[in-house]
Amino acid sequence: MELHVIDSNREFSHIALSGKLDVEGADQIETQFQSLTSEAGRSAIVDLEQVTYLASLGIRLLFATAKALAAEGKKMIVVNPKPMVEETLLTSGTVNFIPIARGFEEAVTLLRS
Amino acid sequence: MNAVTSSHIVRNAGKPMPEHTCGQPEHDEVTDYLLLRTVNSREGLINLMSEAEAFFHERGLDERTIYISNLVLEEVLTNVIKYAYDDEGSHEISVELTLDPRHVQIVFEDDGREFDPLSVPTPALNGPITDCEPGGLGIHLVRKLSSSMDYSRAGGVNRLTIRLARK
Repeated sequence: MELHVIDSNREFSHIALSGKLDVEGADQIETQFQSLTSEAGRSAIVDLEQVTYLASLGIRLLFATAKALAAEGKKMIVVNPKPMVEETLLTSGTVNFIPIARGFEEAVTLLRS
Repeated sequence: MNAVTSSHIVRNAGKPMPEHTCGQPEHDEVTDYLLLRTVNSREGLINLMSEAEAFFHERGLDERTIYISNLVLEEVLTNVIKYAYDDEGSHEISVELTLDPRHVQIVFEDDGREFDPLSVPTPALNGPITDCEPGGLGIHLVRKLSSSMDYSRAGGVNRLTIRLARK
């Protein structure tokens, strides 16, 4: 699992994840992911296009971070998930709390809405 | 400090199916079966999931079924490892995988505290995020993806049977 910072400004951190967000993947990125987002009090745009697997621990990481952000009045948006990852977000109900955007522009619009 | 003992005890022990179940005679003779055992550690979980995924690939399951099976394994085992034990000791968890032409059946057994996942209420998905716990989403997801779930408790052992429809 890799985490790539595309941009980090006053308004949000734009992060791209790649690989499997499984037990090992969630462990690998958790500290950096949270330091860039919830701990910095900065909204998050998370590109999931290269994420091939998302399940229990990945959902927990995204959800816990989004919850911490919400307490600060900030948001998390995920972008371009692959079909199975999207199904997981939809079926689990995660999408009720973390909206899905098609592309970066839509993510920024959702963030500011 | 736990010794990791994730291992496949029985591998492809062509167990005969109980009866002819449906009109697919080319698959009727053999059911694929794999018994995995691990201890309640993160490393044990990773090793077990790796063994299970290799088995699913070997048996030619479609990618969606493999994805969902992995997801169910990860969710249930994470819950057991995180919450089932009151002590710091090593506990064995067994996972029995059975494949037939229509289903993947996963049977989990652990000697942790009694926990029936079917008793967990559906999370409040329409409320604010601050009212929802992440663990609730995982169980909710497993319930929605499963064809059936059965739980029983006997002799101090939790037994959870989950059936997933194959594509």
